Amino acid sequence: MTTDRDFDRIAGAWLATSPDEVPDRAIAAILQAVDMTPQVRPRWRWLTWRSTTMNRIPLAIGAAAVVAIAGAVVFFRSNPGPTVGSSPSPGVTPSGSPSSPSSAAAGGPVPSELRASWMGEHRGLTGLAPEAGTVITLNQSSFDLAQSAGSSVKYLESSASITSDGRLRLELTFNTADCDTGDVGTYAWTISPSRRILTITEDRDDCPSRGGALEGVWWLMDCPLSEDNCLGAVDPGTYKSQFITPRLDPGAPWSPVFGAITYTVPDGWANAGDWPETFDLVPVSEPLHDAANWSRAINLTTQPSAMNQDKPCSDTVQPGVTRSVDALVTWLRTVPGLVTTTPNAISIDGHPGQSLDIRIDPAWKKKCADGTGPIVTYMMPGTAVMGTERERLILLDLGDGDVLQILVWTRDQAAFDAFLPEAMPVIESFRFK
Amino acid sequence: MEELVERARHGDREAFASLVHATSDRMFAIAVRILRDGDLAEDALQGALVTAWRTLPTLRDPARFEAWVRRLLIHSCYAEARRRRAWAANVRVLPVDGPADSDDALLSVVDRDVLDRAFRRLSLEHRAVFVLHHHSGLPLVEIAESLGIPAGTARSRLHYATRVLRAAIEADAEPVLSEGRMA
Repeated sequence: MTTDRDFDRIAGAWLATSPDEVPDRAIAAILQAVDMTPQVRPRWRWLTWRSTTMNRIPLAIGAAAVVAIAGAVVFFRSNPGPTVGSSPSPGVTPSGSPSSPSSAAAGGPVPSELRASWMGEHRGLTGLAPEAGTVITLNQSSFDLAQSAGSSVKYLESSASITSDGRLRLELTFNTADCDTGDVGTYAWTISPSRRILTITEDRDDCPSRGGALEGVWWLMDCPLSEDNCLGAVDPGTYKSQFITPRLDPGAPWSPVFGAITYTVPDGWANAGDWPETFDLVPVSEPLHDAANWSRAINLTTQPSAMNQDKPCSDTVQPGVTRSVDALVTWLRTVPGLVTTTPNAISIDGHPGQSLDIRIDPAWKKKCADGTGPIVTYMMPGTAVMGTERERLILLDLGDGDVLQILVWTRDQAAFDAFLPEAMPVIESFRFK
Repeated sequence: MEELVERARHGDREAFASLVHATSDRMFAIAVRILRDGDLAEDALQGALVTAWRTLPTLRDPARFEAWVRRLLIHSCYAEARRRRAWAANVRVLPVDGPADSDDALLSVVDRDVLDRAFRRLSLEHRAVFVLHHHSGLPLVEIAESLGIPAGTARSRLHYATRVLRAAIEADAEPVLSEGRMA
């Protein structure tokens, strides 16, 4: 019979026969995947910040943003906008017949209204993740295309200019698999009056893969937070998400899925965040760059879990509560400190769910260690209610065990009553891939 | 390392790359021992480190970075193994290319085969506890924290895994002992 010591030595020797070093190619693959992956905004910090007194700097920035956005809204509203995001009416339309791309002479700099990053649907370029969206970036004299997700890998890098007849001229600056340096393409383009939707049409291109990748509709990426990837303020219309992936298992490797959620908004909305696990829609009148000072928002969170109630801000999963709409709603109604309404059945895009309104019990006193007031943290990641806040929580069953949390969050009852009629039609417009 | 974690939390990809280089061998060693398959272990490691990057801003205590990544890794191992439902049937025999050990003389080819077979019959949860204890040398409390389970559960899993593996060796050891290979 083996003694404990024998066994430990045998086990140790056996385990020591396995490799101890990760192959270099695996490290390279990890770093490449990281390069294509945005970080999740710390929702938890947002929750704790949003209760704190605003200091002067964010207040000033917030006020400036509101003024700027209000000015922009006045400007945009003075122009007839497109009916929907996907079919803009032409704003600037180049004239003249298309000429041979190779003969189109390079002209002036790219106009300022085009100099930006624009989000588009998936394009069939080799090397892009199968369902990832794309981003084109136009500067004064350059163009490139990348997979949306902050990737540093650029495709179709070209010099850019505007021809005498107003067309966009691109000249490839690096060889690609099927195109050569110097290949020229010319494109007609139109931009919506708001300058947020760009439509590009190929005239001719010596490089066919560039033509195929560039043609179509592009949406201005105007995310208020520079480290985020989102659209920012949008025209009325129908849009698609870039990053949120409602059907991704928690902890599973992520790859961007363009259009996992389609949504329709009227005038006055902004997409203020788009991450693998979260997505934010807020009225454009909110200080978009400063989530801590929003007074209302729609937030989507994928695969929520019940948060352990041993202490506030436990940030751990509550044992025994499965991730299903019924189990989570049943559990929510037992959470100390929460006041909930009777759940109502709801259906969005054919997916069943339940909806209930939530506030904190005024008698509740427990606080987070770093918080400033009583709080009930009830769902992971980072969903809580505190103070005068009012929330509508919708849990949607997307099938196959996937649950999507939709939270209508407001700072107080008056904001809740006013915001709900605006928010619910947007939520009811959601369509899921 | 804490400074690197702080920088990476604020989006510094180079700092995170340094963390990957600093921790990935240790993490891979754990994953490959739990999964007994190099390809699966690489996938699990990638899943864990990409998740770590993605959610790093939510890590509150930079000093806990490695323990946090270890926890992500274990869950990634579970996910990777379960994603490939047929993995148990199709798993390749792990090549014996690890470092030599002073106790290697204790370990015959027969022992390796016996342990390999018995280990693969254990659940992933039992394997994880066993590897973290016998390979990483973690105390049970820390193992429990890494796996997000009570310490008592970690203890019982280690006890069960040890019993199964010991029984396998002992069942195989009778003729070996009679030949005097092991005292």
